[in-house]
Amino acid sequence: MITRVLSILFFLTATIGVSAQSFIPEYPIVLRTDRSSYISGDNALFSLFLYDGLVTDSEPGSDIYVDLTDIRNHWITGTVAKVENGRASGMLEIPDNLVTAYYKLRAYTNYPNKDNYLCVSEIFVTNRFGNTSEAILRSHLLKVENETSSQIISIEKNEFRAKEKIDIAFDCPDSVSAMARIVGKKQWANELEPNFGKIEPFKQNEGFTALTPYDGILVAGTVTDSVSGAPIDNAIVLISLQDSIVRMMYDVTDSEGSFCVLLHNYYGEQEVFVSAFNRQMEPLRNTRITLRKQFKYTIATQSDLETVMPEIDSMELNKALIAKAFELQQFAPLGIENRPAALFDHFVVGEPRQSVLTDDFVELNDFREITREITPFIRLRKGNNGQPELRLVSDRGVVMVNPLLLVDGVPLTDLNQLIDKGSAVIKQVDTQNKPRYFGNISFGSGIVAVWTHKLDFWENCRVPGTYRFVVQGFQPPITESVPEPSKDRLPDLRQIIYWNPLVNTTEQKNVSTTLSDEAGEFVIEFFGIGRDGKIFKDFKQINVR
Amino acid sequence: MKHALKYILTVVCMALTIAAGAQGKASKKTAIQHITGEPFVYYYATVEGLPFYMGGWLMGSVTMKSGETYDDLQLRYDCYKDDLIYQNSLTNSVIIIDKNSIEQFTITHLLDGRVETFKPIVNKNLKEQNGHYFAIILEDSLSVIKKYEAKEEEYSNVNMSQKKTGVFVHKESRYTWDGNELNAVPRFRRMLLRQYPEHKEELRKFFFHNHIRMKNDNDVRLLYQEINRLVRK
Repeated sequence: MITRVLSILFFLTATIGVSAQSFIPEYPIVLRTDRSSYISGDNALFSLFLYDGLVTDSEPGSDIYVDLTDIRNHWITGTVAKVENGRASGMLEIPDNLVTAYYKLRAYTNYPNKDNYLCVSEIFVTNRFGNTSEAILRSHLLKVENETSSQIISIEKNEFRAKEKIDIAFDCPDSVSAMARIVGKKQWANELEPNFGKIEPFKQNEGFTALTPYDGILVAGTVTDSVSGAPIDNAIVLISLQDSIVRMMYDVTDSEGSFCVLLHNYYGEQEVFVSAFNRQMEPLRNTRITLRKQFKYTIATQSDLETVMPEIDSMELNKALIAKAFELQQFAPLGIENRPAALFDHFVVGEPRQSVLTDDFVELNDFREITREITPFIRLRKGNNGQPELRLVSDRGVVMVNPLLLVDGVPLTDLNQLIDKGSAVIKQVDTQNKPRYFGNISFGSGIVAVWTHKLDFWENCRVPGTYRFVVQGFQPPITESVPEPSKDRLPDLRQIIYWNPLVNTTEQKNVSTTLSDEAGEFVIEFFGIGRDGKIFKDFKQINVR
Repeated sequence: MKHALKYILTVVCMALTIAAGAQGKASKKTAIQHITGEPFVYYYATVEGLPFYMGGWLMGSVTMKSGETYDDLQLRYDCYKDDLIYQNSLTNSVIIIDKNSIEQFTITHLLDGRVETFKPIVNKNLKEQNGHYFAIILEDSLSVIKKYEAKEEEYSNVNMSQKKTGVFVHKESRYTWDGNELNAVPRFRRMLLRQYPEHKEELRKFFFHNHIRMKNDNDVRLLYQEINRLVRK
């Protein structure tokens, strides 16, 4: 009896031990696109399925990266999609200047301190003006086996007229992550089976992980010596935006010189300014700041490719041409609702001791005159090295040397860039003539914040040690907009008839849409993954006359 | 059999430890934070007593308007200047946190572990432009809040040997707050009953059954919970 109990317990122990380790299925990320071939300049719509637990919505950096490379892995363009409940969707603009070829569409996670996974799909892009008679390269990918795993789709009939309304019912268990589409049969039949893989984790500053999880743009990089290339430890990295209020964050570099911050709730494209300081908040001049690439630039390869003859569908070309000519947009971006206060907006300057508007005074030719005439707490003197030096006078008359100077919200480390700017450029000067604390760093000599009329100081200003980078945030979600019947008889030649990248199988059992003007064979497809990894897929062919 | 049971229990405990350890590896602690403020300057050398709530440093947490929450901070609430003071042990500095950046802060009482929540409340009747910190007794459509104050009472005869010119006298007062109006909580039952003539009988019974004392925080909380319920009815 005891032996039996013990053996059961040993079995249970082993089971607990195994379940505690993270399990990653064979296909951790599944990328589905609306079509298999595009015209350069089109939008590739995608739907992403992420294995339950691979991506946690609340974890920082839980966006998913989707990018396009050529067949030899040269990076072309990319976008970031927001993950919600293990699903993501969006679109990638295919550049107008791509030559006719096969391209790789990749989707991957980009987690700090974790294994990352990717899914690579291949799409065919045709350039309207390119030479299409030459053979082109493609990976040894198999065509997708379009088989039905279960009876999910029900439609009343299989024969339709153009522009006819079509009602589709889905008979699928609840809580299945799914997508549905109606697409041309040729497009559907030419899809290639994607590849899956694992990406090695990248190391980053530990400081980042304990931040309150929010969506945003991950800015990570390293500070190194510009001459020796050695990493700079314990440097304070200020990350700021050019704006009408101070938006600033900081991180302290580790022994490998790396830093990492999250621009909370920022999305789309943002330009950030990054500069490094020592503990006394003196600018580190001979440094090189490099930002970790958001997208993974892979090494170009030559191997494992096959030669195929292009199959170009003239109908697809015509549809793209009409969409372009009449500026037809089948998809509209959804606004991001209830954007909470961004964590990036900090009260770094506090309540200024004095705020001076230059317009209230006579015109002053340069910053020296401004400090002399209208800002009593600020003094501009020549420093020991012959360079101009900014000084602040506290309420008690204590002179503080080299306060933090912010111009349009960005730290300026070279005063010479500001000296020739008069009241025609400078709108406002705020003075904080007390030491200020910002987390674990302090601005002991106070802060001077200068604002220009046009908030464009940094457009033409280049200061050594201040780096500017453009970083990519997640894109706003999109929604399908089926064109209204137009009075001026524009042909309705949608490039995809129906596209729903995020089907809610708990609530959405029926959908209805209208067919376009195009006649031919179409396929209604349903693809879903259950929580246990079970695939639910079904398709129905329809004819449109 | 006894030995076998011990063995079984050991095995189960080991298994649970392994499972817990595998899950706990992900979280890491950090010191990076974004509290902003200015240095605290010692100002009360000539006054007897301390201007701080509960005297010394207390552990607590601060939630910023931006959403970040920082726990396990050493905090002091200055009732005289209505400032929240924080000790940053990493930089060895004492900082007055910007009031306009704070959503709320909590203080944990040393004796009973009670957690008291404070929020800055802005009202036209208050002299402070950025609002005044109030302890939250009840948060509802009609909230009950408590103001801690320290006032300096000047000595008529200055004790020259100690060079003290006065003494800090601490005072607390309760208010109701509906998001706009700040009104003092009546000190007597009859004054309160006069404010709610339509619920006079229900409140009279409530006072009788619950032995409500208007000077006790818990009693006032119960009373205003009932008032909120009656008003909503």
